[in-house]
Amino acid sequence: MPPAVELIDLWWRYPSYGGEGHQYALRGINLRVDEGEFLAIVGPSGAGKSTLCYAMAGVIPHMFSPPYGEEPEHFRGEVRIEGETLTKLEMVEDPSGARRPAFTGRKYAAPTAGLLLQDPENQFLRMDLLHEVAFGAELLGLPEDEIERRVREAMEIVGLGSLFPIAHLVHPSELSGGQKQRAAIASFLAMRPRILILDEPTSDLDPMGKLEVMGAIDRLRREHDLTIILVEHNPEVIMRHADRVAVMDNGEVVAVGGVEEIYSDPDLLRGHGLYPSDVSRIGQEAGLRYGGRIPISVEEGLEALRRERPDFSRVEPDGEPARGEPVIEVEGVHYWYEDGTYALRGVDFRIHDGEFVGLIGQNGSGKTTISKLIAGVYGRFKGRGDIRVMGASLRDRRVAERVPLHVGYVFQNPDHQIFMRRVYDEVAYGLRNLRLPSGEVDARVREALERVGLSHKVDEDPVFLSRGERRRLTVASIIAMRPRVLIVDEPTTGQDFRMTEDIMSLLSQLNREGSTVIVITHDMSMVAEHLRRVIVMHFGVVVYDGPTRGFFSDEGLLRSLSINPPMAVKLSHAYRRSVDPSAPVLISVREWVAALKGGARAFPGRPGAAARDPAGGRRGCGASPRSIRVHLHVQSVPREHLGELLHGIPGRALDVWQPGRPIYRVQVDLVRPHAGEGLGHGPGVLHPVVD
Amino acid sequence: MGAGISEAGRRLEKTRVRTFLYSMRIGTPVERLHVITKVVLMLTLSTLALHMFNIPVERGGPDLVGLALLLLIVVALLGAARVARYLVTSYLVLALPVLLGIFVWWLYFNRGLPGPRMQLYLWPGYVPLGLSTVVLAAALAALYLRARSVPGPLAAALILWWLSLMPPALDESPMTSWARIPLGAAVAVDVPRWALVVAVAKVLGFAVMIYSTFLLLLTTRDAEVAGALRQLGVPYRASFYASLVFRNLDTVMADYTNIRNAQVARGAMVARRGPLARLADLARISVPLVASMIRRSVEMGIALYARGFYSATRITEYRERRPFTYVDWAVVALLAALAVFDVVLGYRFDSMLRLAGYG
Repeated sequence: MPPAVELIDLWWRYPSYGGEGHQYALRGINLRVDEGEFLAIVGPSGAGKSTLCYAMAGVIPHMFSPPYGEEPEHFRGEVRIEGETLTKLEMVEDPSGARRPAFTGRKYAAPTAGLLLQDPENQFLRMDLLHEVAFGAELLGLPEDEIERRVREAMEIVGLGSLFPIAHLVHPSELSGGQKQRAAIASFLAMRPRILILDEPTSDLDPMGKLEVMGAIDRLRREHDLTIILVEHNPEVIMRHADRVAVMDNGEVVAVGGVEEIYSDPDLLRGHGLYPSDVSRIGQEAGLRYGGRIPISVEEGLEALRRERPDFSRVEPDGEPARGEPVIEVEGVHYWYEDGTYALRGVDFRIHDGEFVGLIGQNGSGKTTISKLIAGVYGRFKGRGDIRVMGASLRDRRVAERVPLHVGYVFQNPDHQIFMRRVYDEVAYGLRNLRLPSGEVDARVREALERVGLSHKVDEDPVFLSRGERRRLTVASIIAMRPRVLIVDEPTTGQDFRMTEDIMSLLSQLNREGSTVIVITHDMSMVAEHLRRVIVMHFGVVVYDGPTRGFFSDEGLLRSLSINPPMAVKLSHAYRRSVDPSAPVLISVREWVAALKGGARAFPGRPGAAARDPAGGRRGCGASPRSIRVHLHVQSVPREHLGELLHGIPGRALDVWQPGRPIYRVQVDLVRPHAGEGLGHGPGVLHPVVD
Repeated sequence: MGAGISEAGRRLEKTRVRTFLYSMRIGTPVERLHVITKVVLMLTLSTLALHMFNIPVERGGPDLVGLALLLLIVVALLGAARVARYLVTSYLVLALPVLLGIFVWWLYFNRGLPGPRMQLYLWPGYVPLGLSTVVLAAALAALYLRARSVPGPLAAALILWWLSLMPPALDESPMTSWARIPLGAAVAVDVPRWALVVAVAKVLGFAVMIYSTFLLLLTTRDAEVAGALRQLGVPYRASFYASLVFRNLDTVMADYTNIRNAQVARGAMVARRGPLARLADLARISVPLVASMIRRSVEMGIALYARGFYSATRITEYRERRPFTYVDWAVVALLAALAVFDVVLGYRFDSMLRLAGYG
C-alpha cells in the first residue's frame, strides 16, 4: 500500500522579487507518512513547518510560483499523495518544441487531503456557518441533497451538530476561535478527505478551544481512521495523540521517531529550541528513570516517583508576596459594550505596586475587557462601579486620557501596534505624543531598545524584523513611556519555547526593577513558572484571586473552568492521589527538581534568594545559584566582539556580572549560525561555567 | 475572539441575526423580504422623495404630506424590524444634526423668496415649565433606561425640539403651563413662508433617503448578497469574490479597531493635539492595516487553494438563493403603483388634505 504522503528530497525556497534571494525554507526533506498514521511535526519558529504543510497540500509551489524559467532554482524533488505525484519538476516540451522545466502532477491535494491553517479568522471564507461547512462540498459539484447530508454529518463529527438548524443564521463573528476551527475541519470532512494536515490549529485558541479542536481531531482518528499530520508545540498533545514525531529545524527534518524516543531525549529537543515537557525535564534534572529511559508522561513520571523519596521540605515556601500600595483598584465593575454584550458582571480586585500577576480565563471571560478599561483604551469608564489607577478614578475623562502615561498595554498581535517605518521612530511615537523634549525622547528610545536587545536594529524597517523581534519592539515602545503598570496581552501565544523564555525573562526583569506587571495568558506552564498570583475570570466575574499554588491545588475549580494545568501540577495531583495525600502541590519543574535533588531553588528575587560568586565565594543565605540557558541568536559577529556582545545583552549578561545582584551561571548555546557565516564556535566553548 | 455561540440545549433559540450594521430580529416581516426587494424599496422611496421635494413653487411646491407619509413608512419598517434603537444609540444618531444643518441651510438659501413671511423662533426668550417639561424628562429617562446613556446630539435635539415646538402645543392652558422663566431676549428670524416649506420638505426628503438606506443596511445580511447576485445572473466566482469583500470588511474593521486602540494605548489622546496631528494618526493606521490586509489575503488565498477552489469546474449552489415570495412581489407592485401615481400621473398626497378641508 503506498504511503499517504511521501516527500522525496524536497527543496524549496520562496521567490524573491527584488534584491537577494531567500534561503531555502526546505532542505532535502525525505519524509514518509503511512496511511492511518498520526504524525506530529515540531520545530522552532522559522524551521519550515508551515512551508512543509503547504508543500504537502500543493500550495507550494503553485500559489508562490517562481519566475518563469527559474523553477529549478526554487524547487527540487517530489511530493506524492497516496502514491500519485502531487508536485514534481520535470522537463517538458512546450508548443514550440523547446524543452523547459515545468511542474507536473495533480497540483491540488483536495479533496484527498485537507489543510487547516493556524488563524481561524483567515480561513473562514463565507458569511455564515452553514455555507462555510458546505463550501468544500459545493466545489466538488455534488447534488444538493448529498451536500446537506454530508454537512449535517460533518458538523456532528466535530461537535457542532446542535447548531445545524440555525447554521444559516450564524455569522462568523458569533463563533469562538475553537468553533471556527471546527467549522473548517467540518468543511474538509464534507469533502471526505483521507488525509488532514493541521498547521498549529490550536495555538491561537483559548484552553476550551484547544480541547474542542483536539477532541474533534481525536474522534476523526479513532472513528474515521484518517491520516493526521499535525504541527504542534504542546508536548502533552503530541504524547496523547501522535504515533511518530518529526523534528524540524532550519528547513531540515533532523529527527524522526516514536513519541517516547523523541521526548525521552530532552537534549535533542532543547538543542533545537523545543520544549521537552515538564515530566521529561524533571526526569532529566532529577535523574528519574522509567524502563531505562527518562519518563515523558504523567503516568510514567508517577511510576518513576514511586521509587523516589522526594523531600518536600527543600521546596521553598511561597512566603508573603511583596505588597506595595494599591495601584489598580477595581470595585463592583459592571460593563456593557455598545452592542449590549454584558461583559463584566461585578468585578472586584486590587493590584499592588510591584506585583507580577496573571489574569486568566477563557475567551469571553472579560479579562481583556477589564484590562483595556484599566489601561484607558476605551476612554472614560462609563459602566457601573469604579476603576481607580493610583487613586484616580477613570470616570474622570481627564484621568482616562492620561492613563497611558501610567499603564502600558502591549497588545497580543505585535503587527497591530507598529505604525512607523523605522524602529527608532516606532519607539519614539508614544514619547512624542507625550510632548517630551527631543533629548529626552532620544535617551529613552535608546535605553528601551538596549533593554530588549534591538539596539542594532535602530534604523531597520519593522516590516523586516522577525516576529519575535517585532514583539520585543512593541514591548520597547511601551516601556520607553515608563509606565508604572505594564499589562501584556498573551505574550506567548503562538510562540515557540525559545521566544516564550525570551519574553518572560524580559517581563520578570521589568518586575524585579519595580514595574507592576499583569500578564493576560492561556499558558498555564508559564503561569506556574513565573507568576505568584492569579486572578481567574469566568463569564464576567472573578472566580479566583490568590496564590498560583492555591489555584492549581483546586482540581475541582480547574475542571469546572476547563483549565488544563501544566504537567508538573498533574504529576503532583497524581502523586497525592496514589502515593502521599499529605504531599504539597508542586506547580513547576523547578520545585520538583528541588524536592528530588535537594538544594532550595529560590525564585529569583525572592527573600532568601541565594547567590554564589563565580570566583567561588558565597553571598546570601547559602542556596546554590540558578542556572539558566541563554539561546543567543547570532547573525555574524567577529569572535573578538562576542564577549562585548554577551556583556551588553540586557537582562541577562548585566544581571550575571554585576556584583551585589543575584548571580547567574550562563551557558551560551550558539544556535543557528547562518550558513557560511559560522563563528567557529560550538556550544560550551565560550565561557562555560560548569555547575 | 469571544466566547462563541452556545452549543448547549436541545433546541437553540436564536432571536436576532447579524446584518451589515448591527443586527435585526428574526421572523419580522422585514426580515422575510428578499434583499432585492429591499434595494428596490430604498431606491423607489428615495426617488419619490427626490421628486416630491423638487416640485417647483409654480406647481404647488413640495408635497409635504407625501414626504411625511414616505418617512412614516420608513420609520414603521425600522420599528417592525426592531432596529430603530440603533438609530439613537449608535453613531447613526449623527444623521439628526445633519438634517438640522440641511434645514438651516435651505432656510438661509431661500431667504429672498417672494410671498408672505413669518416669524420663526430660534429662542422663545424663556424656559418653559409645564407639561412639555414632563414630556421631555420622560423622553430623556426612557432613552437612558433603554440605552444606558443619552447621546449628546440626541439630547440636544430633544431639548431644541422641546423649546421650539412642544411648549406652544402642550402649554396652552394654565393646567399644562406652570411657569415661564425669562432667559434672554427672544430670537426670531423673519423667513418667507415658502422657504420654511421648502426647508421642511428637504429635511423630510433627505430623511427618507438616509433612513431608507439605514433600513437596507440594518436589515440586510451580508450572507444574502452572493445569492442575490447569482439570481441577477452574476457568475459564481464574481459573486463569491463580492461576498469575500464583505467578509474581509468585517475583519478589516476588527483590525482597525485594534490598531486604533493600540494608538490610544501609546498616548494618542493624552495631549491636546491639533487636527493635523490627529489626521496623521489616522494615516498611520494604514501602515499596520495594509500589512494586516495583505497577510490575511495571502492566507485566504491559501485557504481557498486548500479547498480546491481554483480547480473546481462544476460548482453546486447549496441554499444560496432565497426565493422571491408573493410578499416580495406585493411590495414591489405597491412601490410601482406609488411611483406611477406620483411621478407619472403627478398625484399629490396633500390633495387628500385639501379634500378634507385643510390647506
